[in-house]
Amino acid sequence: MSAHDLAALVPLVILTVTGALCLLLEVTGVPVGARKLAPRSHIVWCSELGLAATALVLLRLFARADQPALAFAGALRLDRFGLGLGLVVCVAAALAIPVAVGFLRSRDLDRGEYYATVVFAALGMIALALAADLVFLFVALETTSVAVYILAGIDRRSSRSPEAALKYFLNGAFASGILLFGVALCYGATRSTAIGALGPALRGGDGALLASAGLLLVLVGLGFKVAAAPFHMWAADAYDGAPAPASAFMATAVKAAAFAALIRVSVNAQIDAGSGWISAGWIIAVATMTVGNLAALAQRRVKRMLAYSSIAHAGYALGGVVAAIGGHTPALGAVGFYLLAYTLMTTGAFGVAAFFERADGAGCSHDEWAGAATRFPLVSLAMAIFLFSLAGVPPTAGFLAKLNLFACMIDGGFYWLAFVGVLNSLLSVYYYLRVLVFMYMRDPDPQLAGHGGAFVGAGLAIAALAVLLVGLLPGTMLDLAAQLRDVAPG
Amino acid sequence: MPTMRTYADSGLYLIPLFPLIGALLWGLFGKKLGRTVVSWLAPGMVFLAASEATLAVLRLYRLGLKAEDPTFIGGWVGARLEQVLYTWIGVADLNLDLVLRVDPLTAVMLMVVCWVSFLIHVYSVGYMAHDEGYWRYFSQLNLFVFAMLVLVMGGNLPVLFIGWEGVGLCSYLLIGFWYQDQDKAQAGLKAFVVNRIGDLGFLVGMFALFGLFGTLDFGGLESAVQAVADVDRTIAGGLFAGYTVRGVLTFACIALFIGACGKSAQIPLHVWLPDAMAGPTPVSALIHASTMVTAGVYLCLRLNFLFSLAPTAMLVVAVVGGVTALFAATIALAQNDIKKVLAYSTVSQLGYMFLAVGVGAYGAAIFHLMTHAFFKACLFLGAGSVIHACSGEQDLRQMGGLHEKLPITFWTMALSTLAIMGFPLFSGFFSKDEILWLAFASPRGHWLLWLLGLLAAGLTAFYMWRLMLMTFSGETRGLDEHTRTRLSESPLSMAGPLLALAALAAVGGFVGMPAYLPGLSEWLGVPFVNYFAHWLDPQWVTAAAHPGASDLFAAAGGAADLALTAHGHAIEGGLMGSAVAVGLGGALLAFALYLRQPAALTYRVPKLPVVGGLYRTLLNKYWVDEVYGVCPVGAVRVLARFCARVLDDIVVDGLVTRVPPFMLRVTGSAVAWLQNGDVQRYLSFIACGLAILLYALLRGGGP
Amino acid sequence: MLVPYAGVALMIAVAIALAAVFLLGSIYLGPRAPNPVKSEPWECGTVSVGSVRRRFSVRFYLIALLFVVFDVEIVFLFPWAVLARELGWAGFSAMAVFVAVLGLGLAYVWKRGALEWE
Repeated sequence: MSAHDLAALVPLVILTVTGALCLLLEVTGVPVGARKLAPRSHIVWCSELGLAATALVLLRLFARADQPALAFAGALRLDRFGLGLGLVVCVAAALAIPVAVGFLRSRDLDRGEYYATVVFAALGMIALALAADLVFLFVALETTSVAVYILAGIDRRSSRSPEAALKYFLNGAFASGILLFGVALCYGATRSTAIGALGPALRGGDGALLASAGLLLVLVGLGFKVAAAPFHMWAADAYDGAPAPASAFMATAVKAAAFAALIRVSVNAQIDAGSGWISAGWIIAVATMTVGNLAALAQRRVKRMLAYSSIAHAGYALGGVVAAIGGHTPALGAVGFYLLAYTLMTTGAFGVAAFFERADGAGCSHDEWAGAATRFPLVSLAMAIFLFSLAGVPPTAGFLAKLNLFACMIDGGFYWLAFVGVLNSLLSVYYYLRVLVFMYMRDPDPQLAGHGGAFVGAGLAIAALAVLLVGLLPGTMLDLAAQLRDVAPG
Repeated sequence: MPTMRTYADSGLYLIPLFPLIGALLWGLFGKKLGRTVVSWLAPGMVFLAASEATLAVLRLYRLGLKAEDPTFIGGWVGARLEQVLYTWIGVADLNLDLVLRVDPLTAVMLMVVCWVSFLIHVYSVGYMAHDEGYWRYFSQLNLFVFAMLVLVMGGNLPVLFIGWEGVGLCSYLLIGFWYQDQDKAQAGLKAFVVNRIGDLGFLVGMFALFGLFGTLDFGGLESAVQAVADVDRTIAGGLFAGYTVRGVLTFACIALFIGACGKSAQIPLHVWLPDAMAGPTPVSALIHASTMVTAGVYLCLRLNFLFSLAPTAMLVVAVVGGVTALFAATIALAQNDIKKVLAYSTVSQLGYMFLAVGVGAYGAAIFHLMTHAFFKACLFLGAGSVIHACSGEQDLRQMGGLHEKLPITFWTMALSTLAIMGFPLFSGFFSKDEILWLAFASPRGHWLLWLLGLLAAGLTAFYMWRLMLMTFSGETRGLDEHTRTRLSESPLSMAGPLLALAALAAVGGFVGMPAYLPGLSEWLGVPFVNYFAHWLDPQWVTAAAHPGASDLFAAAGGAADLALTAHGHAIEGGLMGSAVAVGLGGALLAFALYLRQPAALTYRVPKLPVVGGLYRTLLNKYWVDEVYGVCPVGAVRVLARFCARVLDDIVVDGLVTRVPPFMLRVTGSAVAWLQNGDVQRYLSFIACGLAILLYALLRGGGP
Repeated sequence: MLVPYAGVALMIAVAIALAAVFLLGSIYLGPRAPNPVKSEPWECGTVSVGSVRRRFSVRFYLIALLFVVFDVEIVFLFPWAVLARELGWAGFSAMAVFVAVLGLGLAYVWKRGALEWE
């Protein structure tokens, strides 16, 4: 076992141990020191500490990853790109856990299994972000997916949650099949499962067509996970039906990790800048953002609106990916920064939905949120910050991320993509601010109730402050993001 | 003379940090902490900031001395302390740091801002003791100090601009502090709007400088200017192709000066300052007299090396400053509201400072800025004390005979009045005299500018003594019985700052004694050193060293030496004498007219034939507000109505109310059809998408 | 290029053909005398009750699932046991981690009460 193997193993081991600890703490009863805390608070702390330790290790590896290195005979690649997106996953998980606590307690779901599942999912996602081998990528993806299916269905007494989980599972299984088929074809073409072997195989030789078919299937499988049109249709039902805290995690962390894999595969395939792949890519990007936005316009449930909004944001990010594949490497950093901003604001927004959500998905529509600002001023303020950021209004992280991304598209020569992106984000202002109109300008609905608590408050506050801080002082983050360009060798 | 060296300093962030913590604490938890805690800690936070600032200035002093000659007289070369807090944006051609810097100029501002703020905070504890919004007040006041410190310590224009906007925000909040009163809220709005006009100039100037030099850092600008050997060279390419460097600089400087006009209430943007007196009096003293309104002067001084290269811009500054000084002084003659008189006096004194900037007397400008901060803060606080005692009465005609009941207030205000009128050896004497002398003698001065200043000096003495006599002498005229019986001196927390400021107003000028003072130096047998000017000299070196400004600074050491060589001591002494004489004349006239029957004139004068018309003109401030009400404001109203009725009601509302529901219906039904929740349908879409892509791949060899 | 695979194809064809021969042979050659008793599900001689398609308790699935997990564990353990000496400490520690993870799972399942029938 080499030093790189060990380095790659450390974050994964920490998460495994953390998840196992969460499970054991659930069954062994409350330790003496934690008796005075609210039930399961110690499990929340345990999972948060594990994620923090993982983030620290990832940060340390990030700092030392001047030279990307392969670990475990090429299964994992330790580069700044993968480690950076692994950090985004950590942030998403660390924020999704506290905002879930209030909802889980109100539904009597506050069990160690929930937190353990989030941690195990994060484990799969970090592995996915680092995966440099198609088989390992598949295993990581399945680790992630199975955990997330469980999270979607965690509220099994609800009428919507199991339905969402089942739909997600059926669709996901289909997509996994496609991906696996693609992996098989790639192996057939290259006699190797390494992602790095794809590029040369596509350039010519007997297996070129086989390799491109395989690549296409793999990309479609991953496109399903990031909810790119036309593989996006499950997302609305899954995010809307799943409990809001689970959606917060699904919509952000899964997306970040799947984008990492998508980018790693597509950049390593070294596609020609002028080829049809690029056209197909930007058509899909435009379709994704447009479909997401148009569908979000008509929604009357905040949660479903957020689900479609996450599809639209995937479209923007895909635009950045297309610019990156088209040869403009700074776009990789822009996508990374975008995913971070997206994670902060979307986790926050779904977290607020979790604050209000009641049994069977009630408490998540515009009408029910009417006048929330008078009853819950701080939560409403946080939501306002998230929504402004999602709409891309300065001085929030969302604004800067979009600006950066669109600037990269223009620099990469994708003027139309940037133009459509800007149009789309203008369109999105309407449905984001509509929520605020309901929250701030309508008479309060006396039935509206929220389940707060220290964890929820802290989670929302940290997310909101982070959105503002990244928006106001982006220097450090931009510097870090600019280093996420070492995804491909050479 | 060598340019100043820059030293890294890790403690500068502490200076603005303390007031910021205070602002957050009182704003969020003020009510829980209670009045006692806030009363001690709000001034305490400013005290900590002031102490940190003082330590920083001492560090600066030590570093600014030559190693081989560590004395102030021979070895002072100046230095800069710098702390980069954060690299804001570091993209290829735009490098913006959040940087704090302290150099001799900032040091003076720091001392003035911190210590005057501290005194006024202490005073506020007494003045605002019974106010409902006690914590809100101190939160905003602390926030102001923070913003002001960012303004003076900012190492580049954007950081300065953050502070600039920050103080503007606090000013707006504090003018409208009693926001339930519609007029006061309106006054806050007016200040904000007028300042926006100025800010536009600021931004234009800033962008022009960025376009020209590609940097906004003060150090960067300075070296960029030094790198331009010939300022009259035509620029070959880029944004300003075809213009000369000097032309662009003139444009940028005038634009920045418009910004300064807004903040420092110069003609024609002076209209907000008198209305700003709606805020609590300590706010008027701090923000609208001694610190924030001087930010415009500070901006010009900070960029002196640019202004020096743009004689046209400097002429504009000098003329606007001189005219404002006289114009505002005339209005102050006829005002009956004690705070309005002081407000116009402030506008007038700020005019002096700009006059000084415009003739290249940078040291004199900042010197007057400092002495003005002392005596004007003292006068405002004294006025506050009077108003406090009179239960909120501000009309001079209702006052009178207060000197026995308010002795401390009377004596401190009297000292400050002597200072502002330029009575020999009081602080205002030294600073105003230096300005007048250089307005006459500087290569960019003119006797007409001097005359403007001289007349304004006479008027200043007159209206200030008019104010004093109407307030303190004779019999109490108005005021109800209840108030009269309860007239008493203010508490110690208010009297203390008054005494401290009065002392500074009296003797603060000695740090900047001119090297030549007729009779005195010979009589004492010691040569005087202008310590203040000496401290600041390194600041003006870049301008002096540049060939483009050679007419202004032939010799290093600034305008003073040059003027002296050109005109000699005799003229300097003569001018000094005439200024003193005019001041004394104004004061004597005020005594003659107002000592016996202080208020009678204000009723009699309007009825006189010619003088009465003049008086009404002054009383109504030349009807500037009314003119503005017709021309810009009225025109904007019409435009606004057009926008509201036509653009908004018909065009926008039509689009917004008609189109979205239609779109919503269309997209809604489309989405409902697509997303019917049927898993088979979703899967078939995935399959179809995949099929299309595969087809494209097989047909074209790539999708 | 498919020549190397010809043997595989032949093998598949032979397998299918052979199975078909056996099945079809028994259908066509075997004598048949159906009666109602013969067509009943065989239940150890007792009379069958109700439909076969009834609901099972979820516990069966749980037990089955756990059985599969530990079944797979055996599948991994046997080959290792055969080569335990050659694989040395590295193999042992890897296997120990594997068993420990499973043991952790077992502990969790046990404490959670999934192994108890009632």
